[in-house]
Amino acid sequence: MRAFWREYRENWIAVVALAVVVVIVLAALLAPWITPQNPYDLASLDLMDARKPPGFVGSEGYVHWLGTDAQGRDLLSAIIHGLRISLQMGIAAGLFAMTIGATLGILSAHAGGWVEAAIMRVVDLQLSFPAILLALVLVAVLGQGKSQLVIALVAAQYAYFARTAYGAATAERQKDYVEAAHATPLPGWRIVLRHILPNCLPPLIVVGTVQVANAIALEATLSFLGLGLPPTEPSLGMLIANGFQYMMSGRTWISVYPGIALIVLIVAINIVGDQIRDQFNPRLRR
Amino acid sequence: MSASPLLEVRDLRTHFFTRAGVVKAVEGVSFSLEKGEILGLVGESGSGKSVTGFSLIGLVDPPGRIASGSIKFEGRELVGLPPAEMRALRGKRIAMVFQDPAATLNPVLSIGQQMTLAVQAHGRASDAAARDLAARTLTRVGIPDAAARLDAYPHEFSGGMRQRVAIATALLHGPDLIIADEPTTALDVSIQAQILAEMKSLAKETGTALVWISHDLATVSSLADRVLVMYAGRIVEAGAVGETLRAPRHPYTRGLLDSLPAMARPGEKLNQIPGTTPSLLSLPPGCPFAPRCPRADAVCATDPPDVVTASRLVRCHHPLEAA
Amino acid sequence: MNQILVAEGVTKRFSPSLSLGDRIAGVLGAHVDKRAVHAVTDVSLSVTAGETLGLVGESGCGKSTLGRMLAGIMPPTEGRVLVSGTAPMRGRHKATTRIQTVFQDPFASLNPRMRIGDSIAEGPVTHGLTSRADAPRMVADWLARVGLDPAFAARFPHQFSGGQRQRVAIARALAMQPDVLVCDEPVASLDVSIQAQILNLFLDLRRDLGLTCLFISHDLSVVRHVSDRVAIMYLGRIVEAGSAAKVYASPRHPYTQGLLDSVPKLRLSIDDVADFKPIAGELPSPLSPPSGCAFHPRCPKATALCRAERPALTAREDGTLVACHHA
Repeated sequence: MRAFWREYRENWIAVVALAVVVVIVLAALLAPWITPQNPYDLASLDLMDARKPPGFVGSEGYVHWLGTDAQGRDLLSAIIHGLRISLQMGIAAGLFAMTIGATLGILSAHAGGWVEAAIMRVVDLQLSFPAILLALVLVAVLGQGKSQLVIALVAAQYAYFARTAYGAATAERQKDYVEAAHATPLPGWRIVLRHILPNCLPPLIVVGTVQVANAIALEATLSFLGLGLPPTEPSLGMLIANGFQYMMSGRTWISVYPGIALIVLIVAINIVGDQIRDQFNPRLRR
Repeated sequence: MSASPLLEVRDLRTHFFTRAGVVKAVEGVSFSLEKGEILGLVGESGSGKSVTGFSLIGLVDPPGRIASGSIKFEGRELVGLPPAEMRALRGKRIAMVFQDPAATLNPVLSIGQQMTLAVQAHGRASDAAARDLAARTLTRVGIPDAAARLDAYPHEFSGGMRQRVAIATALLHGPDLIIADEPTTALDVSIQAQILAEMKSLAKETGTALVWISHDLATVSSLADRVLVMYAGRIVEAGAVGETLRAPRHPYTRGLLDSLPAMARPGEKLNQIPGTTPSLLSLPPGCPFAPRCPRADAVCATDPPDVVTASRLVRCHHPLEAA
Repeated sequence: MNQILVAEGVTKRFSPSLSLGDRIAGVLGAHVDKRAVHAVTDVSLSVTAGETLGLVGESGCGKSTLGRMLAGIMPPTEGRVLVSGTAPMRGRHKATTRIQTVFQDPFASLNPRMRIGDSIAEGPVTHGLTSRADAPRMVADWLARVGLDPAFAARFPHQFSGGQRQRVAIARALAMQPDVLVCDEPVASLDVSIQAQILNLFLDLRRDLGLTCLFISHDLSVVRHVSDRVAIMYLGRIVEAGSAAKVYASPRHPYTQGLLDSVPKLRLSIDDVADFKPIAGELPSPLSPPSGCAFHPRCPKATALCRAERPALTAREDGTLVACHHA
């Protein structure tokens, strides 16, 4: 672990990215305490403060560093709360998708035969068309709300984990230590849990980080299209969508700052994921 | 005969500058090689035998490089030679054969195409002439029906046949020196015997000098004229094969021989060398073999031994008696 | 005599498992290769208690496949295997703990994410040979026995050298208290000096525990050193079997003779001329083994009879089994 960190530290871009992720996660966790305003408390909003530019001092008497949106929300507060929701959605969807996908992938690799064929063909089928399509259909059917959104994201993304886990488990299954476990003999469930699974984790963790970023982007897309979370709890996608109509009138900040926050988060997570992947991949080792 | 030997290596040091520190893979290796001579380079993994071979041909990959020393080929210094000049030499005057023939042959080109390219890499030759040379060389290394097999791809050959192709490719330009790194280790004994027999007669016929790098004392003893035994990047013993292996003077050479099951009565315990090869990152200050050596004393732990030369080179404070 | 490991007419054929695409191509009239690989054909052998049988042959001769069938890792296509009187497999799964295996590559045969102590204890605890509470003591015992510091139990495989890992693998196999130990090329990937250490350890343990062993190797001198009896395999069949001393001193089958002549000898003096008498030709494809005796295309003694009729493995006056018309 210490060696892992020592190697990680050598890529300063990845270190910066990790710092950004940590800062964003901390800000998101502490959002209720560090933001000047609760953007979801409609009573605290003042329409007089709507669409004011960055640096404006509002009726509450504090500075709106990033301006306000059409409802008079402080944008900085809205963005931090939006990041909080985005991260919640992304991490929840990522974890569920990983659990379900890894279980399916490893099981089909271990079972083989028709179980493998059935599961992996469904997965392949799903990987052959865009994830957003499935998510859109599901959200349309299930309706709005956090849990519905998570279900849609998981359904759209588990296939990546299943494919990765299947690939890793198929490779591990053929290694001598798994054969040695069969030759002892150890029960099948034990071989899967104690031998195959732990050795499949590195690629899953890598896919996991990238898929969290993808889930965040997907959620933002859905929210931008108005299919994500209800407007009372604006996530980043909805903030961008809300500001979009004011772009032409010069009030660019309403869309641009949430957009920047989203991009920074996604890029930072991807850089961290790439670095972890490079370090796990022995072929790229020096 | 010219005064200078074909190959003269003086105090060669090849070091790898890694994250964890400087790995001194080759540390002060000197030897020379005459025309037509077969030299066996023996050692275990980490002894530096392969790195020595790669250094000779200028193929040490970063983070490794030749830190100091001299390699003179026909009197010409190879250390510090510009890459273009090294390339002109490599494959034409000095050729290399690797352990894994599958890794050195391009799977998408036929044998004939690859060998034609190798011919044309060093001088102009028509495709027909190059193919003809390739076919003749393949026949020389014992591939039957060579002309017809030129259009086959590497995967259509067995491991033994692929290694023959690699050897034939090395022989194309009639090099003065071939460096062979564990060329028969991956092969079955019956195929190994075929290749050893062919190498031996080829070296005799063509006068090509051969550096045969191997962990296998028996292979080296049946092929080489002289043997160098390496341990932890250093030559610990060198001399004529028969003499050196019959009466080794360095305790490590003795230990290696005693480790061979063929040297003991069946079922009896082998006279093993205790311990494991040391990490090149943390070698003891004295003799690197001292921690495993039955003859080691206080001097060995602190002072690196000098070379004791009688009829042969021994790097030991307390060499075994000459027979 | 107490025969602990018995194989009767064991055969293994690998039929190509056709993918859906291949099957469709086949239906559409494309040429799909459906020939089975005859890895092992009609092998019978037995190992008596306390004995070590060496199984020798070149790559592709089927020795590892035979070893895996005997070890209960792979079911035979035909014939049966008995370990201490019972079949080692039930269906596709191993059912007995009475036979254990040491694999060739100690870098691959240990789970890289499991502490070696857990690797050793896992089997015995699962099968109730040791209680969970006793496991650490048992692990320490075995580590000491294979010449490792008992404190190493908490380390991971990557912290060990190849030789040390192979010691761990041996401890893991022996901790299951097997009747028979199958060693599949256990020293092939080790350096000469480490190989000697592992062979010595093997000899010690075999003496102390009275082990019964099947020792598989391509290295003739290693097999000679550890085996009481040897069986030489060529293209899936045993061509010669008998006491190690007799087979090595006076091989009868032309393949055994050629194989022994191919081994490079230590040449200890200049007069000691190194002469190679290699076997001509190459191993035929196990997809289409030659007619009659499988060795006839390479055999110096081959006659029309060898091409037409496969020689049976028959006992000679000194007890050696040979499958050759002319030996």
